[in-house]
Amino acid sequence: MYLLWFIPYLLKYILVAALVGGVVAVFFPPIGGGLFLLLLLGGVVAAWTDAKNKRRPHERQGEAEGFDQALRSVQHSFRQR
Amino acid sequence: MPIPFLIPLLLTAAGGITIGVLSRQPEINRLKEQVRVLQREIETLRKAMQEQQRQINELKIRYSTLKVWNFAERQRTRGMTRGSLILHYGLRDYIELAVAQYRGKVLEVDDLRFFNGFNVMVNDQALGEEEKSFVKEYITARHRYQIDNLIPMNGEDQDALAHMVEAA
Repeated sequence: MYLLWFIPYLLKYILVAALVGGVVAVFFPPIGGGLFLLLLLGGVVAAWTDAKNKRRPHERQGEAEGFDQALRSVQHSFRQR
Repeated sequence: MPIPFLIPLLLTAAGGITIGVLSRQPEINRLKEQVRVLQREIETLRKAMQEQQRQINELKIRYSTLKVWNFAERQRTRGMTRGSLILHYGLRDYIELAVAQYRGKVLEVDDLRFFNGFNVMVNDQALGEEEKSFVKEYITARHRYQIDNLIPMNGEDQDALAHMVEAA
């Protein structure tokens, strides 16, 4: 399931890394390749995080709902004292 | 060092200490009052936690009975259980920090930020989204295993917490 979202996100980050690396390589050829690799590495992590967040919108929505509901219940107890 | 130079230095130091103690006094009084309220209302607190635990258990049963094809609802229920657990453990951290401060412990910056934020929330006052996110992240980071595995506090933990407040 993660892979479903991970691949498109990874492609996005590869594109950005290639663009930035390419532009830098035109002006500073020795740095371009290294920068591309660095951005790619960061992109893999970012794509994984994005995919995880994308996978669980319902869970995150429920989490906020559950927290607020429990908070109201505690506030109610505190108000009654 | 000659004595005439020492006297103003000592007076300044004494003045600084006095001002420091006096400026913290309202905060200390507030904490003492808070712990006194917690002591008085220990039974209410225990009941509130038991009620929370009941709700968490209900949500867990609902989550486990939902079929795989009810994916969205299943995930939402899991999220709701997590949300309840975050508050459940938040209450525990809040009480522990209130008692720690009452006993004279100086809190770390993050602990204090959490304590103040949570205090605002449970007392029914508005808290900014950023602070609310911080409060949730603080609790999740401290109890990640229990929250990820949907484990509420057991009776023993709750009793230990109640005893800690009573003994404060």
